[in-house]
Amino acid sequence: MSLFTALNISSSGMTAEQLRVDIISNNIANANTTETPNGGPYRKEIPIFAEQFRNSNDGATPYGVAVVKIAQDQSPFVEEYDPSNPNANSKGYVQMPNVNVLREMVDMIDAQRNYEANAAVISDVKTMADAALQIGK
Amino acid sequence: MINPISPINPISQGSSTASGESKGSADFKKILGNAIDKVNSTVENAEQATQDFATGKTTDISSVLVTAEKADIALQLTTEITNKIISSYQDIMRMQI
Amino acid sequence: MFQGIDLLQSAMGVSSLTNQVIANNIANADTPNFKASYVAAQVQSNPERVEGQVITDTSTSISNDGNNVDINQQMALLAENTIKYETLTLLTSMSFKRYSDVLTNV
Repeated sequence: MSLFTALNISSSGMTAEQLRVDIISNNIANANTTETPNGGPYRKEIPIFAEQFRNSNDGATPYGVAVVKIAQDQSPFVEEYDPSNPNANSKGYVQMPNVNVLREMVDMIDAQRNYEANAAVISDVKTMADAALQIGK
Repeated sequence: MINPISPINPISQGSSTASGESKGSADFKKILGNAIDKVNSTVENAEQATQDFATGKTTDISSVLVTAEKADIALQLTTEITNKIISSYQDIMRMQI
Repeated sequence: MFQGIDLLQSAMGVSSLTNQVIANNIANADTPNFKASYVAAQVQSNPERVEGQVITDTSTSISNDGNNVDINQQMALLAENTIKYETLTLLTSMSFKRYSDVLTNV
């Protein structure tokens, strides 16, 4: 049973990291969005990860992870001098999204690596199950 | 001219039946006994190595597997030898009659 | 008669639990304030068996958000544990075969 539990745990990790990649992609795509439907520039989004648990005979046992919320990064917008921009204020400054593309790329690489690590666990679980099936053969 | 048929000489094995049989079976017993003892110790080694690996006393995978494989081969070899010895013994026992 | 096999089975159980703990550590590599756990194995007797206890490492912290998962260490532990599990299954097979060889050729 433990082997199957590990499969579920790792797949929850992959799902969470994949969502993280989607959010990072969206941040990068909107790095220059000065106008959103709600008004104002795009605000960077952050996935909030939380450990998941499952009730069993031994109480609450660890059961992977999930993105429980997509929060908005509250750090201030970046002010850029660009009087030609239709969203510039009277002094010629435009509020740009609080997205640092380089930081997003680093996060993207980290998310990718964690995704692959979770996939490696699943692959190893399959190897272990195959080995167990060979007992007595 | 047809030569007369020469008399059949008794088989020399037959004359020493009494002592030969007991000597032969003692040898067989010794060979079998030796083989079984050797196998026994390889099996004991394999069991011990397996136990040590399971309890974490040793983490040397190759040495555990080699020890276990030696026991496996020794068992198979002994099976072949004992089968051969037993069938040879039975053949000879049949010949006595 | 099967004490050797039972011992191997208990060791496989510990290995399986270890795999699960590592999987959870890796899945939570980005969870704020998450602390990695590990499995401590102990040898018990009567009957001889191995038992694993899950222990959480609350001591260290690698990053600012309180998460202390070292993904490289977890990957290494994963590889080691997988090899150990495979070896245990192989030894179990060989033990069964040894028993059946002895039984059929006595």
